[in-house]
Amino acid sequence: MRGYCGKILEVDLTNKTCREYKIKDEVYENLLSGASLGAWWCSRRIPAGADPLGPENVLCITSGTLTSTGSVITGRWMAVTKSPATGGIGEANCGGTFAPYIKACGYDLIAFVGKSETPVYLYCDNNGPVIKDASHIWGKDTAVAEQMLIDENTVEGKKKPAACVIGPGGEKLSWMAGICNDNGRIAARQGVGAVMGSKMLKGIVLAGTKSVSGYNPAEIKKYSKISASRINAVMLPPEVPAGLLHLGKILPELQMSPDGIFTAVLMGTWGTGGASSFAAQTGEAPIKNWGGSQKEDFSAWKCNKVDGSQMLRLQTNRYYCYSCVYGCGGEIDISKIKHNDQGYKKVHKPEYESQWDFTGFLLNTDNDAMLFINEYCNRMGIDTISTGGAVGMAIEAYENGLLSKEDFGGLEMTWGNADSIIKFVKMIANREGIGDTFADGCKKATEILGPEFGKYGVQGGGTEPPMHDSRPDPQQALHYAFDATPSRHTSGGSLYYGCMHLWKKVSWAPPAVLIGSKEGEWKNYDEESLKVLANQYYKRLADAAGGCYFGFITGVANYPLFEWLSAATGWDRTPDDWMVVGHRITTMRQLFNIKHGIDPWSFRPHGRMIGEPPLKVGKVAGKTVPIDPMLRAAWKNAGWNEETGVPTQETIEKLGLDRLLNAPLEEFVYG
Amino acid sequence: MKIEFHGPPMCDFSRMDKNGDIEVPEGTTLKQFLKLVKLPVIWRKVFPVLVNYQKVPMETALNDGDIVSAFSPSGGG
Repeated sequence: MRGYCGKILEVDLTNKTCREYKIKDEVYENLLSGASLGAWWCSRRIPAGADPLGPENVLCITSGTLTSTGSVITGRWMAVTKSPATGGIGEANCGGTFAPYIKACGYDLIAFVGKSETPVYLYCDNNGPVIKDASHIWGKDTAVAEQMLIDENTVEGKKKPAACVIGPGGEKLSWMAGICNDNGRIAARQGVGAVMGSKMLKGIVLAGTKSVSGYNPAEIKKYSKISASRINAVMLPPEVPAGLLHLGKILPELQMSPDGIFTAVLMGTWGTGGASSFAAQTGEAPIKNWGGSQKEDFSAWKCNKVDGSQMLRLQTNRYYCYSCVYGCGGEIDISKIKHNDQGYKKVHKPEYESQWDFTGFLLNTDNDAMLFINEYCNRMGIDTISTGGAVGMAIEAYENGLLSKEDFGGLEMTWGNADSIIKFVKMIANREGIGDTFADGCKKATEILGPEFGKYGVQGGGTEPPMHDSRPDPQQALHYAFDATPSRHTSGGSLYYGCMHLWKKVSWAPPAVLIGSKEGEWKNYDEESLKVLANQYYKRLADAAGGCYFGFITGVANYPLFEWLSAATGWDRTPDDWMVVGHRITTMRQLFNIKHGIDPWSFRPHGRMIGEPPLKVGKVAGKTVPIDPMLRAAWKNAGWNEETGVPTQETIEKLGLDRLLNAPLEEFVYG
Repeated sequence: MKIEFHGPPMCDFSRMDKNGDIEVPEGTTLKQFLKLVKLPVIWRKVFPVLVNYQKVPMETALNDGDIVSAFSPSGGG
């Protein structure tokens, strides 16, 4: 085997039929599997103009080429579809333990088309797929539904199945809905859960036990040992003072390219939330719905009150996703916190995004409120990033007199008002009252309420941005705008690029010795856009492989993605060769968007994300990102039209996409 | 000889060239190098310092092309 199974399962929920497609090696040689195979299948199967929530849309659930081959930190699964939020390619990925079960059923990808009339779920094991009734779990929260599905499909003496599900948010077609596994981990972004809900598909239960391997298992293992030993070598003992979290106060903004291996220290010790106080102090974390500053609006004392170390007091254990070796995940006991009217007990520790979204971003210092909202969103199956953005928009609309207390059903939607924020999140999740207006995100809410609300509805291309301020980091802004799945922090940024050291293996990737003080660097748009393209292409490769972002930011020396891919596939390719695959995937995703009528300029970030106008106070004061020339430079260097963002015919042909996307499907399948 | 260095912002990077390397005399030990770049002693006692991604004794002599990495806070989320 070469890491992939060579098969796609397509489930027609209208006709309740399943069909297996055997895929020729040519597809994998060009695209690998994982998210890129999903984007290819969506490109082939979704007609232009299809309603994202209609039966013509296709939802792909997929795991990557490296998953289950013996490589480490390569256990993500991906959902790919046409997004209701952006109108273009939608993608979300998630960790936990679900990913290997897809390939254990013998498939690289399970696609869902059509629409069921009644709630159903898919069960699949070594004997093949069965569509089953899900009426009894429709309406249940994600943790309850997942457990019910696992329990009713567990056979004594056999391996326990794995499941992913949607919550009530997905059932109610919220464009902020995701797909959950492992009791609340969530593939959250761009409304993939709404697409699943539109098909009346409550869950997917996988119980296959088929083995998967790479072409050269010994070589894969060799690199995995190196990676694991290096990461383990830098882990800190738990007694290291939490004072590290406050280093942002004293460290100057100027920073040299760090050794990415040390990202494992912070996240392995505290989890992603451990960076929140640090991020606030350095200007990385947006404050007050991107309209405020740490200096004026959220003091160091407040940052301290909500920083990552506070959550560790409740932590009962750390955990590792499938094939992970440093374990940024943790479980906390929130049974005794305030606001817990749902009786939640042991839950996932909030990630940085959720933690900051419901604290400093909304000027909330009630940590218990944040902990409750995080779990509530996970249970309802909605994205905390988009939900936080919608709440921020609502608060500003209230504070500026555009919406009244009556509009909010009696809630005083003021900054930091924990009780109101909790109640409003519940209204969004349940589509109650004005919560219904905000349940599809800021862009849709602005369309409904009027253009005067757009000032407060911070989004890019229909996606609410994450808690990484792009004003002090133009590379981050360019990623938000360039990516076919816009406004996602996991696309890249200057710190990530500085950590990865791609230039040591990719001949055309510019070095980034100095990061952090970027104003001067951005005078050379060509070179800086190449850094963003290298980062983007590499990210596409990682998503095709099932790789975890937190693995590959440890650096190419410590996370040997290129070497693993060559060993798993048996294809003798250089890093430059692999980056061509990344370029191909990136261009294919852009072509999907063009096919579906997206103007790439429409992904230009909201003014607040790029300092139009700039803030007057704080770490990002006076900073405006020159996004237009940056975008043109990136498009030109990607071989796309620099004025329109449309890939040129020459580039399409050079990358072989003309054939991959337009030749009859029969030429790529057999059997 | 040239040493590639990655370290926290409070270090002295004034000797670093555009490729991220610092020129030092042959025979320079790790301890001498860290003193040269002004890495606080407390920092190296609390956090990891690596040579070519491995922990080594402070008296280890560096070689041309070695990579010295001192902990610098960075993460993601």
